[in-house]
Amino acid sequence: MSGAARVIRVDLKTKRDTAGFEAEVGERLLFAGLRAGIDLPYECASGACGSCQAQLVSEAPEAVCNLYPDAPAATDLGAGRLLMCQTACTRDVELRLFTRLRNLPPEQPRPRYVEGDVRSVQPIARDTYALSVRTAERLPYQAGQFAMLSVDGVPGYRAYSMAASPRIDGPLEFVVKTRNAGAFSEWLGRRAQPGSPVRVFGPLGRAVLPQTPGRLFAIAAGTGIAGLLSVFEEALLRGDLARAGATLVFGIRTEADAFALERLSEWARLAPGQIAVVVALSEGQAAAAARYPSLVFASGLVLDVARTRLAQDPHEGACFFVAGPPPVVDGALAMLTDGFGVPRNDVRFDRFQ
Amino acid sequence: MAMQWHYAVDASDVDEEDVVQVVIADRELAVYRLGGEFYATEDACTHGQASLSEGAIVDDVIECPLHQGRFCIRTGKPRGGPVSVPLRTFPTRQDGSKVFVQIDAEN
Repeated sequence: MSGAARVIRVDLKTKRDTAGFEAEVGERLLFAGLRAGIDLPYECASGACGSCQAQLVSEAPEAVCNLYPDAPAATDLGAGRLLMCQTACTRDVELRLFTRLRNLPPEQPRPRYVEGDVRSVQPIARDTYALSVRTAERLPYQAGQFAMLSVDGVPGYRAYSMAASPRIDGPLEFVVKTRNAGAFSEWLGRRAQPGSPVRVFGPLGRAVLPQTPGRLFAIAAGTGIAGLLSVFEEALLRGDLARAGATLVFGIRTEADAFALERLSEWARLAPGQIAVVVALSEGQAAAAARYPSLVFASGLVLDVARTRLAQDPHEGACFFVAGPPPVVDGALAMLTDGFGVPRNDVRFDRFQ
Repeated sequence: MAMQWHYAVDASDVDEEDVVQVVIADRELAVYRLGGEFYATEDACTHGQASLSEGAIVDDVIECPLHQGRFCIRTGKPRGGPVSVPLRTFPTRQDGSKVFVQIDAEN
């Protein structure tokens, strides 16, 4: 954010507590609160999940600017409700929150804005790119976290998970799936080139690798695996896998959608017997299976393949991760909690659109 | 799993038909007072990101402030709104002016 911007005051209240923070005029309230160190509720930070809802208490609706009126989560908001991730204000406002007020835990890196630029963009699978972003300053994060990216000519921010262990010094690595008619996809496919500016806000996300995780069991679909690449790489480098082991089920449609297999295969080779990587193809055959002898290939939907693995692999007391499109996340949550009796608190996920 | 009693609140901290949040061993619970009796559930709604202790009590039901999902305070069962997953409940015991909640050691 620029230094000279005008600042407003945002007062928060719950039944028993109050807090407040400053935001720049035009700045997303969620970002302003998080960078002030307040642990505001959120999941996607993109307008899709509705977790960052608040109620406007002050009678100043004209002071509130909705940056994304068509946000998926905006359709079922009640009167006076707003999404903090898609709201900026021009005057002081007061909001009521529906969670308890607390500060970000000190061990969590405080989210902030960092200027960056594209180091490289490379196609790695069908409609899928590896985007590498250099930042002016190092952005510390926890394995599994994501960042919000904003680029020239595309309104708003997009959420992408960092796809490498945070201990690896270098550019931020992202995996981006392009969509038809998506403005960010159009930028990525046609305009992005080395040096193109990228504004970064982060790190965000609670689905992080804990300090002493025990066994890991992860279910990922498509580019949802990005954050888990960070989690598994960090667990491998830290020695967690040698201690407790891990299973990763990676679901894709066909072999044309596969990426990161070299990396996964190398990890499985480096840690034999410690990490089992299962690639689930929902369509077609795995002609590449012979090239990756340390990976297991299976046919079927990711949840079906994961169910089979859960029945085989030890997972009592494991730390579970789920990542992918909402139907996969919801289906995996239901399977783990209802089907296998996993406590909901033992499953880590961030819900993206 | 080993169950243990933990001090939660002073009885005088919770008014009749009120709810407060308590944190015991990193676990956030909601402690309610209904008809002079104390009840405890998880504080986090099973549906959205919200604290039930921020919600409103009507009879023996807690209504989540975020999407108005409703749960029975005594049993944790869904009682309407968008919620489908029941809320975990915990035994409570009053000892003089102190209220205790029984939770398992690991969870």
